Amino acid sequence: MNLNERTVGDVVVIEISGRIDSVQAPKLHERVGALVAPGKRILLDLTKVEYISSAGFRVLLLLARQAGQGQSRLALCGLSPKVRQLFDLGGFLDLFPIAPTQEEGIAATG
Amino acid sequence: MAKNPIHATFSNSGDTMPRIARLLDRVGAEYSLPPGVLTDLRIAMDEVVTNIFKYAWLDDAPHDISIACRMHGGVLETTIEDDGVPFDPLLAPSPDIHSALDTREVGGLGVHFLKRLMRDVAYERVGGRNRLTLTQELDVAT
Repeated sequence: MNLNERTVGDVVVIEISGRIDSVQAPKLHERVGALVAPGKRILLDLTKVEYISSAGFRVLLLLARQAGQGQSRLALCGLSPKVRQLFDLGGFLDLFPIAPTQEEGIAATG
Repeated sequence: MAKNPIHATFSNSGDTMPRIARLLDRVGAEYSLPPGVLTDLRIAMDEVVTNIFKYAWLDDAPHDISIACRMHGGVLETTIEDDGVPFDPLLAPSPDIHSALDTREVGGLGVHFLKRLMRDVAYERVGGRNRLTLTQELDVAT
């Protein structure tokens, strides 16, 4: 898994690539968790994610809760058909703001 | 065309997961697996091995995991064996996948993915070892 961080306006966009599995998930938690702060807008772009295992979904859940408690806005975008299937199987499609593209995802953090 | 079985044994010390990932690279290449089938197997293996580390070994002694893959008639069968205490992951309760963010728990999600992504998952206790057999069909790949 690789994380590429950039800022678009006042939104931090994290482009994630590769596999979010039990080995990699803690790195995602640490990196994104450190960004949570009042008023912060964070977009996770999953376009280049190959798959997410349950360890990765656990981290996404924890980050979404942390963002809610820390008054940040967290949104996701760019779910490939495979990643969308996993969100669907796990019942996660309704738990996060999810946008098709990065541009729409940035708007979803507003 | 007949394919030879592929098997390997991994110790529980060091970077077990990355070494298993490399075995799956080899399985994918040698069996020319469709990408969707290999991805599902990678997810399943992450769930199974995570559970073994969490529940099967209650001491700090060295242990091992054996993985064997074989293909026959368009079906990929993967067995994972460990020398831990008896542990049947299929007995884990199903997660509630409809609860809200604040109350959502992820316990059981790994086994839920396992059951949904594989055509069949079977558990046996054989010769003092846990054996999980995962079955996938190659022609239903997404």
